[in-house]
Amino acid sequence: MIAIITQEQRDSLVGFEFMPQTFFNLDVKDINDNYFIDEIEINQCNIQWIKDLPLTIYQPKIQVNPFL
Amino acid sequence: MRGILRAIPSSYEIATPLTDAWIVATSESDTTIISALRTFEEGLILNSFVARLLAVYPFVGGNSTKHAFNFMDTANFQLTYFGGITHNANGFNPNGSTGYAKTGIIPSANMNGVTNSFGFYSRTSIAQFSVDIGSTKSNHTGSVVFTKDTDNLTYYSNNDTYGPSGNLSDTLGLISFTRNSSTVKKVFRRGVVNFTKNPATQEIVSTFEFFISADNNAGYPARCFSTRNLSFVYFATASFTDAEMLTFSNLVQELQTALNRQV
Repeated sequence: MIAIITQEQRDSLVGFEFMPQTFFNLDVKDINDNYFIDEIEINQCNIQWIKDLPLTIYQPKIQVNPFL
Repeated sequence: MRGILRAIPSSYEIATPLTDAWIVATSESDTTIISALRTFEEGLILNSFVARLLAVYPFVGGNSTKHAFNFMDTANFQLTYFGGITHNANGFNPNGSTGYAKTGIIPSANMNGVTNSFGFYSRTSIAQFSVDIGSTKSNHTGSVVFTKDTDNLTYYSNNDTYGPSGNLSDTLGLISFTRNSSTVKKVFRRGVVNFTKNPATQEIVSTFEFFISADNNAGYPARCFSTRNLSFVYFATASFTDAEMLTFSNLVQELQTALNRQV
């Protein structure tokens, strides 16, 4: 499960260390080109507005396997 | 007549400064972990492995702080984590969609282009299109490990162009990728050569840092995320002979056994 975030929300989290030695991965987008935060990150961080975000099923972008 | 027989010690103690430094850096107090690390370090010293190991991440202690430190030098090449990762007594568990670690280790600056070795101890046997250690220089070149793709083949490079290299029966235990010379590179599983490949003599050394559990796509966002549970990762600036690799694998296996997480 993931929480979709806006570009502004995403930008506000860049460089934020939510757990020792650990940062949000804010570079990945889902299949609909939305930025998102993974449920593991949501559970580990202490930011309430993130914890209040609705969860949805993660649909990844299709990866092209160059070997097959 | 005075008795002169003395018990001959079955083992002897040697200084283990790396473990001492580790304890200071991590504040580790778990006696099982400390004992396991001291035994592991003794093995590294007795087999002359210390000098060639640039970084060792033993993933002990169960949290992101302790899992960040490089056992060989706690002040350098600490891991930085990104995305969805769970840390526990079994090590480092990325989620396969966003989780990975940056090492700070740049092949062109910190590794050896002709002889080197890197690898990991995996507790997960899966076939997936993912990278477990990766530093892509440019299209299909650099040092990248697709450990076991969905066609069950290993695709990897070690300062060259990556391509299919063989089939690992499973991906449990220590999996090592060694470049022994400009023309020979080998993949070891549990310390035994699984397959050998003769790369082009040209070395194509990446200038981008290694990622763990994803590929550093030439400085672009990380890609090919893995779900593999890793309990140990290492980077060496020199290669291992076949016999040395078996010894090293046994040391790593003993470490995992001492921590009750061996596979």
